[in-house]
Amino acid sequence: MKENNGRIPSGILNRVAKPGRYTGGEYHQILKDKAKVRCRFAFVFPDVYEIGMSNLGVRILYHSLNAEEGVWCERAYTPWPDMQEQMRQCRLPMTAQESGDPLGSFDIVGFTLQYELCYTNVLATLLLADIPLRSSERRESDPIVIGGGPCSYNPEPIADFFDIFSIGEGEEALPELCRLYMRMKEDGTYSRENFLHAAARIPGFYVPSLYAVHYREDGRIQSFSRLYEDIPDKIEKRIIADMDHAPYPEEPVVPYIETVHDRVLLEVYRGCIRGCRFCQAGMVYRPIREKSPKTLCRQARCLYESTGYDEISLISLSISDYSQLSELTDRLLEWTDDAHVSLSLPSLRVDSFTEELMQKISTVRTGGLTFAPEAGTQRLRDAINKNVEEEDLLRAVNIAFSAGKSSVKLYFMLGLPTERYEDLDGIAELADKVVSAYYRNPDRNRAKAVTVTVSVACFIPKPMTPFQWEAQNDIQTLEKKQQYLKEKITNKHVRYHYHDARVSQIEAVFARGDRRLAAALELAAKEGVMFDAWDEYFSYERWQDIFRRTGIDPAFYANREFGEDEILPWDHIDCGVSRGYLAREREKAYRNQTTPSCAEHCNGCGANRLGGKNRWCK
Amino acid sequence: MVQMNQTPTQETPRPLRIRFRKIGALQYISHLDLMRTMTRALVRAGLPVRYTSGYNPKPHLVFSAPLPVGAESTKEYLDIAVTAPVDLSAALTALNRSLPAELSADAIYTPEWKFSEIAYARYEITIHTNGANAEQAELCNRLLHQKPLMVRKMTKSGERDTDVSASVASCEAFFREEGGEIFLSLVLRADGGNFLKPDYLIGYLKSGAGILSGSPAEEFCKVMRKGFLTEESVEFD
Repeated sequence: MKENNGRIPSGILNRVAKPGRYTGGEYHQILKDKAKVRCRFAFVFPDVYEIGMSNLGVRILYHSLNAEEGVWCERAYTPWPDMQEQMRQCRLPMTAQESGDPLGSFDIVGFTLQYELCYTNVLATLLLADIPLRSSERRESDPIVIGGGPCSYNPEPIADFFDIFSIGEGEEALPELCRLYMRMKEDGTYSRENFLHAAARIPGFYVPSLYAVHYREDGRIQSFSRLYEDIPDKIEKRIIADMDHAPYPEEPVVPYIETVHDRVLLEVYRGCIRGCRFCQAGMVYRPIREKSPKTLCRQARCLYESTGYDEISLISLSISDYSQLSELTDRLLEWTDDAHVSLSLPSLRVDSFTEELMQKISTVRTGGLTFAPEAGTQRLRDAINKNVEEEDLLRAVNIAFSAGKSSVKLYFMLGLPTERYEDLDGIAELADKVVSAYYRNPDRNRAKAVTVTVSVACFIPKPMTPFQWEAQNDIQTLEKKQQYLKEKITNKHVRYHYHDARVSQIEAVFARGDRRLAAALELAAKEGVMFDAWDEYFSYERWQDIFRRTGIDPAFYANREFGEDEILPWDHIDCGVSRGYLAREREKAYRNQTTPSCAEHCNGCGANRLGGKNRWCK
Repeated sequence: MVQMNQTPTQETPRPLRIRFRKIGALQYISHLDLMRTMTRALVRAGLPVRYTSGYNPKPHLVFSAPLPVGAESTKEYLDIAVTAPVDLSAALTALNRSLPAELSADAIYTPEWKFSEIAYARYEITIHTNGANAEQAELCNRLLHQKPLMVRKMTKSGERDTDVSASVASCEAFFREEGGEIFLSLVLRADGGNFLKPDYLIGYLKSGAGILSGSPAEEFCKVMRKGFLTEESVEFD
């Protein structure tokens, strides 16, 4: 019986939560004539629709792949467990959003890997699609499975499940890969093996099966080597040289159901001048490349007209570091207020939070305020190179309080390298100071009591950062510190939240893991583990059990200090920033010494050798 | 986007009614989703829509009776007001360029009737159930004509059996040979405080006539709202 859009039977759609997640047909979705398509690409975001639809990377790559003649890129999202249950019962395969065709029938299936906790969703999605999990098990008729995104800077824990990884920015690289695919299919040279070998020769593509890893008896890596002479030892990431001329989706798919970021996402620049030592994004997106206000204003207007959104979010790692922010916001405000469009600046630093911004930006005026001092004392903030002072924070909150705000949220990290208990005392003291600042502020809203929310995450050592070698505090230590801080926070105006230390350990395991973790992930997937990023599905006990059964010691990856002379699992991936720079930055952390931002002077991180039209690098 | 005269005028905003359909994939979006989607479509179409006043102005939209998720409709109504003169046929074209086909508008006009005049909704429901036959359809027919007609309703305090016979203005069930389906034609109360969702009657027939008890991949039921009637049974528009 065929009905509805000829895809998921309505009997099933009527039984699951939010059926609009699965029905597709969104405004601006791209449909193509299958007869003229030579490469079908399914772009999967391995989490629920509302999260996936919000991702800017997917929006950009969907657009650049579909701009390529002969290529049709469609979207897919991991179905929520209630839908998966129905699909298994009724033997429905995992399908793509636009055509409703099974994922298994595509030429290429790509996954964007945004966080480690989505790995089990990648495998769950492959299982639903009936695509063999391991690259080595795939047959000629199976799709090529490719991964990309932030997690591909250490793709080793999932290397066995992927045929190819795209390292770095994909706007130009992915269409290039599709062209190779179409060419080889056409001239008859295509076989899975030939294609993978050819792909490994394109800059920015890593084919894990063409590299061999050997381990020492103590578990550390003995050697990592390529199997062919004509493929690179190190895979250098790809970047877009000129952001003003980079492809940018001016007609993004507009969802019907509410998504997490349901607004215009206007990417202002890539990279970050700051260099916080715990931050992976701040390192791997270098060098800094800005778009001009002219390009941004044109894109903003175009995006507004094509979507009808009432909010434009200016996206970057730290919006106040954009060199022409004032000009950009002035020019946007010339029309946005009249069109009832609000601007939002989601990544404000305390040292640049000004009265001018507060007045100019309506969402700053009306929305919640969040600042991230990250650490409680100046000593530790210097060690992590946050370059924010207590005065900056107090000045920022006072501007907000004078403007009538009565609540502020502060983000911190616990378990940072060199952390001592006095740094935790500092968090409680800083929160107290914010509370007193409120009551000392003569212009405050006298009708309201202040609320300061202190939200504390656990430090996770990330590849490609100065802290990549650091051990994460073990769970007992993290929990002890969380409790210690809980006792220190006695002010009734301060609310305290902290992240589950056990989740953070699992993240650390997969962040710094190697290929041997594949066994654990495979077992987890086969036992139905998924949606680990969701509290209601995460189970630490189950992970412990899985690690035990697969002979994996999570502490080896999370809680061990890696040696600077050790081959790191991700050493063959080159993000531009040199290992020497990272090691120097780590040394400076131990001396509580800060590093100036790229805007002040070049610190020689090495990313400028990748080229690119940028403002700060020489 | 057509550029229309968007300069604010001192004229009284002119009320307009949009008649549209909500079919296919779009039947699965909620009423809130529909509001968001329509708001954006009106902006994309460049219509000089009147905004609400206040801190967070939004286009002022008023919908007729909400349609349950998983039900289609060929006649839904949305009232807006425009702050500048618009050419109605150009506005319809612009709006339809901004709407997905399964949510397309059929007319834009100056409303004559108020939504408060809506008393009934007409539904056509096709039930594709394994082994559907004339006897089963007849059983459905008998069940729907029972008085009292006790259906299980979800309320804040849990499930409760309620007599809804007064809300069923007319009903008919018969078997359609060609589709092998049971067909229901219903007219149900649809005014503000007295709105009967057809789902309740389907749930009632499920337990009473044993329909739709098989695999959801094979059995389904299609609900189509065909418009509204006034208290005098005149077609609303």
